[in-house]
Amino acid sequence: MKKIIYHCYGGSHSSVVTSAIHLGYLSKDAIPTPEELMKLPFFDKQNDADHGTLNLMGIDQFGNEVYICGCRNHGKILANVMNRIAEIAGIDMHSIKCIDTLKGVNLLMRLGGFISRKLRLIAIGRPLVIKGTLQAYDKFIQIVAEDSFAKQDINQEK
Amino acid sequence: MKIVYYSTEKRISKIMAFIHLGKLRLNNVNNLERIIDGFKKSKYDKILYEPLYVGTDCRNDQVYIMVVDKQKDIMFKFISDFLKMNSKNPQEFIFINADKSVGLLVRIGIFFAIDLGLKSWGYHFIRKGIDNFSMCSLTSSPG
Repeated sequence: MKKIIYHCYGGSHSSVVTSAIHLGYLSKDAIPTPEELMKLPFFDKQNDADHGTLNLMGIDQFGNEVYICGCRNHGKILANVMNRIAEIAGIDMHSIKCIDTLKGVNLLMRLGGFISRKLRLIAIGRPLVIKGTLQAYDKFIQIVAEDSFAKQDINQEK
Repeated sequence: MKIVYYSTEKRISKIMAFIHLGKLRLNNVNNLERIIDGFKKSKYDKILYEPLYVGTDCRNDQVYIMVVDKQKDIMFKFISDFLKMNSKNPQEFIFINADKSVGLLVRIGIFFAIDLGLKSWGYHFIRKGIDNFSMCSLTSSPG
């Protein structure tokens, strides 16, 4: 069984959507509706106090645990930190993968996310972040497809 | 048990870790020069949240030093959750804030000795700082 961690800045948008695509909560073939996005657990819900927490989004059809995490701007060092802690604690890192979803985020998502989560002006920020998410949806599908574990799962499926 | 001394500046946590390990005694700092000389700046000073092993104490606990930044609260939460996720007990790791424990004199001493190269002044301040300040609550060094 593998553990996959999708991480972004706040753990509210891109990591939630990407992990939802991985888990099959959202379709890979069609862009979801705003209502479908809002039904996702953690979507546009996490605040500063939740950053750093690993939240289990679900278990995929192959038994892999899929987590999300908001780690602010430490996404680039996260893999190294995990490798070092794993080495000290005697954890096998071969079954763990972390994927930075920030590369799929567009300006509208950043702006809407900041207004909704940081400024807590949800009525203004949420429509922007939803629009941005729908515009960037193809990129999130691509991130899931690039994930080697996901590829392996697809191969197993065939 | 893994004891991690963390600070925003690597040398601060190193001083704490060395006191813990008994390499730098509170009442005998004659070996200070030798230790401080090993504190030259390196590219590794800025590697964040990756504990560096410095020794094992008399209780067989491993002692590490770690550089942190302003986001330490979220990173500690992440490390704790990461350990739990892998069925490890986070309490196996004790994180100690070295920044809170080291006095101003030690900081000034490090600045003088390493950054300005004024070693005699720097060592003097560091000695004073270590003598005047009970820095390490977990010191397990014998004697």
